[in-house]
Amino acid sequence: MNEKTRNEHDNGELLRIEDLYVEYVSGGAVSKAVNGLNLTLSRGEALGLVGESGAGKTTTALSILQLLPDHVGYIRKGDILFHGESMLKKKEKELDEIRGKKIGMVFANPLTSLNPVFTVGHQIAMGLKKHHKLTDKQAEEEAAKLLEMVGIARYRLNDYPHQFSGGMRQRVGIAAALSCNPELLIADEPTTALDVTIQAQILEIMKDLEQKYNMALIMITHNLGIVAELCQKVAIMYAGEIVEYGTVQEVFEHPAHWYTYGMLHAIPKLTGPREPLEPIPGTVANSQMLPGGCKFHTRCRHCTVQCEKEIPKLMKINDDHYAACFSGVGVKKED
Amino acid sequence: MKLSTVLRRMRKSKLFMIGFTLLVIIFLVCGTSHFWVAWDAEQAVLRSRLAPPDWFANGLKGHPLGCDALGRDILTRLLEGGWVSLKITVLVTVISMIMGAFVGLVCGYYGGRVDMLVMRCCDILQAIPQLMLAICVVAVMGTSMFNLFFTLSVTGWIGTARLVRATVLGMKNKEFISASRVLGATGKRVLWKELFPNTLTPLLISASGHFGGTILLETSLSYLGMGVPVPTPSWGNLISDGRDYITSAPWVVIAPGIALMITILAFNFMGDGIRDVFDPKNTN
Amino acid sequence: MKNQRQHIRKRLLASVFVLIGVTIVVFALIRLGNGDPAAMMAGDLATPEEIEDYRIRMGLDKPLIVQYFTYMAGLFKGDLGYSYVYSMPVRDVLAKRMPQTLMLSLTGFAWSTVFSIVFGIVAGTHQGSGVDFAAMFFAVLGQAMSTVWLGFLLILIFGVKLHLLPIQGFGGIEHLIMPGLCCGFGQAASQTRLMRSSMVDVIHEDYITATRARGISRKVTNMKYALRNAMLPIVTNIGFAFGKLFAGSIVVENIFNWPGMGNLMVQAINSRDYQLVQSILLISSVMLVFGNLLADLLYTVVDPRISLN
Repeated sequence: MNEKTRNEHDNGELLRIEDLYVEYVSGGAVSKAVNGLNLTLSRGEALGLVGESGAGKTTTALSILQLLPDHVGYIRKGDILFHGESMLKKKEKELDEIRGKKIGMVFANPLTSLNPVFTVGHQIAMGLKKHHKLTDKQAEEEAAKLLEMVGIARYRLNDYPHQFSGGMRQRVGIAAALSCNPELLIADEPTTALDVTIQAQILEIMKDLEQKYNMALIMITHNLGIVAELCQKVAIMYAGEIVEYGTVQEVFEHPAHWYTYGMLHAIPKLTGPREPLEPIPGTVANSQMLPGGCKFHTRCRHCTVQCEKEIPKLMKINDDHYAACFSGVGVKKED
Repeated sequence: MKLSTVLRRMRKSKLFMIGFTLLVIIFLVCGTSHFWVAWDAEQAVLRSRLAPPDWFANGLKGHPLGCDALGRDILTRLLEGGWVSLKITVLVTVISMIMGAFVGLVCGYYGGRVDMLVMRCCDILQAIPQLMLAICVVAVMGTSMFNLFFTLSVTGWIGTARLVRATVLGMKNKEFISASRVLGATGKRVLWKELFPNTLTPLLISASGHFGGTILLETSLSYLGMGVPVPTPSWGNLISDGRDYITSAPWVVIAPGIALMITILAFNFMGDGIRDVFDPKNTN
Repeated sequence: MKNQRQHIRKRLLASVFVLIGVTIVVFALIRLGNGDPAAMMAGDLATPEEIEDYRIRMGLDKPLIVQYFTYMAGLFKGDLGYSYVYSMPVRDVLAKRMPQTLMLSLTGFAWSTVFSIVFGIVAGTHQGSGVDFAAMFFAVLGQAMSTVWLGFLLILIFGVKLHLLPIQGFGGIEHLIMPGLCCGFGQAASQTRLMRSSMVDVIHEDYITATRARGISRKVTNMKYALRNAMLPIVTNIGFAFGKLFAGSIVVENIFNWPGMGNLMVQAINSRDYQLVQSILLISSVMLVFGNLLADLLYTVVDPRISLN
């Protein structure tokens, strides 16, 4: 075990999710949010996790931190290894030493993810006080620096969240997540709730910080542009599974799954001649009643008998590209 | 919301169904009791003074729950007194709701000086504790059934008026109201066809809470000798009747208290159920 | 800070106006009552001349509006009027009764506040557990119980059957237990429920997950970061409860024969000692208005989001 752990360290592997199944149970109804998800992340690597709302992206993020809602969210199967050690087998105390210190998280909605009755300074400093055992004074100084780093004047340290705009609140959220120099930052749609111009500012900040700290990043988003901007790798998620994975360039230039293909062609291009958009028909699969076989088959124009019966596994296309599709885009082109 | 949706959600809500079923039973049993109970609720029968319960050993002809200090059958008084209490409570609640809804709608919609004046009056009336105000009104007017109605209604509508007013204020500037204005609807029409239906949900929820408060207030007033005039039975009167016999005949006081508790529970359950039914987050 | 002072001043002024309104309502209400106060004060054996004499001496022959201003002028000098039943100034009668009522109602207030907050927090943070079930059971049942009935039940169990506590009257600490329990029961029940649901709501907020994601332990998150938010509605509720203290003790004082203001109020009403009734009503209103003011101010202190302009 120890040897294996060391080996993986040598590979540069930081996080590995193995065959993860997560369910939400409430009032007798069961939602299958994540269904057999596999993912590997190396140190310092930036990965974009892309999918429609309800694809299980946030659930995956909360599972990594072991923060699924009590009595509602359950990991049914699989494992999550951080530095080769299972997060599922760790005690609460050990987890508290990882959360915030080794793994930081930025939440989707800056309006709800800051505590309204504590100052932003306090919220940035609380991780520092816990993990770096700083005194109040030191933590305050450190928090002020972090605030300046994300472009907010230090005198606003003692202001409350409601005195900030949405974009500024998200910067506070980023400052808090980065306060202890985590090895991994999970950013859950950090720009979705913001205006386009503010989005650009936040992305700029994240890009700077990514280079500065050399940390790994999981960027959860449904915006492919953000992925292209920030990430080296991309994983496309549909109904709780990774359907395509690879380097950003590979996946975006040669999509091999019809879902990815559909997504890429549903975006209007700003330049070039006007082309008709090709929207993906239907809506994202209902996690309470998932279809059998490939979960995308009900919305896929290239669905075969095999797609309806068998669940496709991630298949290697080349070293930088994997996809889970029987009638993949590349295959189709050869016809 | 469609009526069929409401009905389906009601059927699915356990709380609502429990409360509703209990209330139907309570109302039916109390309401019809006059026709089938074996004893007179007000006639004293001195030979059966403080007779202990015989737990239906002799059926309705005996004294299943015992007798009070004047030898009156407690079961009989409990059921008929229940009907009196329920009638008062329902009527008071309905009157309070109508008054509250009307004042709240008008004040909220038209605003201005009238609103200001009415609301300041509400402030003043609410600054006197309800029980104390009720005691004083009864003391001034004397104890009678009508005065009890009057007192409870006069002191009961203010909270509802505030609630409705707040709802109206919150809605006044919503798009759908502006939209109907743009389409040429008159003020009156907007008020009754658009705003009023939207206040019904908070009104219903507040009504179910009002029942409990009113029936408890009736008990307190009756206990202080300012509620339903004796010898007419009411749950409040029944409980106070037991005052001097707690030591020798505790059954006099226990039965009406339990009946009261079950009734309030039923109302509260139904209220919580209604809240669930109209909860926008409800997906059933 | 400046805004805060302005807000307080504004609220104080509004409260004063409300209280003046209350004096008008109370005054009008009492004067509408049947019975001739002068005749009652003069006593059963008085001749018509004596009654007339009383009327003039008490100023009851003057128009109501003059009587009202005389009364108000007295109030501002601290003169609450004269109780003809006790044959002494109302102020002196109240001074004798007030401490007992305060003792009783503060006992109820104190235990219900502490109990409901603790019980509510434990239940809210252990959703679905046995404690949670017990809290809900207590809350639901407690809200459905008549104070009168609860009082009788306590007397029956602890006084009559177990012989543990004195059934009524005023005396040592053992006399205080049952009335005190009775006084805070309804408040304890409803506030437990409020505290629990408030805690449950807050625990599911994003910012609590965010706090946990920073590595703050569950315990610290709940007791420090969630609690401060969950307390917001409770603080207001405590203010209101404080205002209702006196009113709530009327029934309890009667059940346990507690020599306080509530008991006095009922006696005064039955004997038409109207100046006494008037004063008790006024004091209760002052308490209520003060409680509401307290709730409002506490809220602006604990919630930084309330802007005071």
